[in-house]
Amino acid sequence: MATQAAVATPERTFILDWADDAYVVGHQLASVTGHYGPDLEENLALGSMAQDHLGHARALYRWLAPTDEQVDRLVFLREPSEYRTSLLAGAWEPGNWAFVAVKGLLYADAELLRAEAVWQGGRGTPREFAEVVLRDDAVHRDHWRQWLGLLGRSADGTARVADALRHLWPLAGEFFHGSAWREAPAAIGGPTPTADELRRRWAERAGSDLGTLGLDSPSDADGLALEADRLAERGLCGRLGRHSPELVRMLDEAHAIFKSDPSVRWG
Amino acid sequence: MMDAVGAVTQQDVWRALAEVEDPELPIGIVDLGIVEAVSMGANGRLVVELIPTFSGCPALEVIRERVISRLRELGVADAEVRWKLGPAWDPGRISAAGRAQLREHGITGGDPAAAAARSGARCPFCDSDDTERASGFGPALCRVVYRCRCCRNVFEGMKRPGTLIRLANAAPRADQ
Repeated sequence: MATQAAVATPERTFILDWADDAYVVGHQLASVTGHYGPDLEENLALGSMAQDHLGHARALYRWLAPTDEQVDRLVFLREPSEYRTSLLAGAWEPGNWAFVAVKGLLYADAELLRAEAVWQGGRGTPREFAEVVLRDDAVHRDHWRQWLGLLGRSADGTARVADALRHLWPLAGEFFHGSAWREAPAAIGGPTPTADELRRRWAERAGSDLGTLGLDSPSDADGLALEADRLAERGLCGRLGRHSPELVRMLDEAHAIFKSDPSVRWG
Repeated sequence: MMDAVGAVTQQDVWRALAEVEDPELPIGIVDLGIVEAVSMGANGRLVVELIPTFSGCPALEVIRERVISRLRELGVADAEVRWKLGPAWDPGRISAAGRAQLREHGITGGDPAAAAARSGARCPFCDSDDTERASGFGPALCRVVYRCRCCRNVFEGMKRPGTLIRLANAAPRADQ
């Protein structure tokens, strides 16, 4: 469709990857705000983090689409297979708090690395926006670290965290997958860290986060690259639009109202 | 740079913008530090550039409408509000008058004197800096919750950038 033709440059693909990650993570957290946190404070935290992610997504989509109407079309009228959401961002088990917390931390580490790559070499708007993401997601990272610390205090909690880690860690290799990562930071004025280099940085940072909580990393950066290959062989590659059935269902549900009447307006 | 739209000067525009209140804080948008620039577009349209305190702020649309409608009262028929993607807002942008207004409403923010306090916040009720952060997430995206150990009150503060961005800012810039 027309939106796809318009996003073919490395720069636009990179921004769309970023936007599609933030949109899905924001939607997931928003969908459980209010009836999920163990206390009022946690519900405020979930709602705030959801707003941050959705705000980033709105800004990134707006970067690609000049009017609010075009942003709506980009978000609501693309098929799930046109979404470039990474497997890590798309992973979601809302009934499993350890999973939500581990995912929150692993995603924050990946998101901060992406923003740092843009910040370090970029200039102008990309650099300024990266600064916004660095400011916001650093708070999220602290929050999920605190939760993992709490969960790690009991044997049951530790086992649940380890379980979630086994599932989530291998997905992170794909986050840095694809040509967008090689070419786009250069297109928006940044350096071009290779996918291997970014996986190395991520494994080191997430591993150190886990280490301070007394948890072991399931694999190193080479292991992550292998896992990304294995997932691709199983037909899963978020950056190519090959998503889990759960994410496809979530996107279909999120877009159903708009699709039923694209002229609909809230309020 | 804009000189005037009809009889309306740049100064008139800034004065009018100063009267536009933030919908979620008892403070004007100029005092809040979110007005970046006022300029004249090529087509004779007045362009107001704003930066959001936080990109997910639900009040952006309301602020846009308030600005447009206030400028219309001033006689500017063709105005556009552009929300910029950055730079990251921080409470240091709040004016001294704005900080005083917030304090009156039990909210602390951008107070340079409070940097000495471990939590970074001074209690708006008893002025003590013996405070602690109770939660990093407050009733709105731009605020966090503090507790005063001295007068035992709970109060809100404007969210400040975390450690990581401060470290990042200390690193050399690639474009310098």
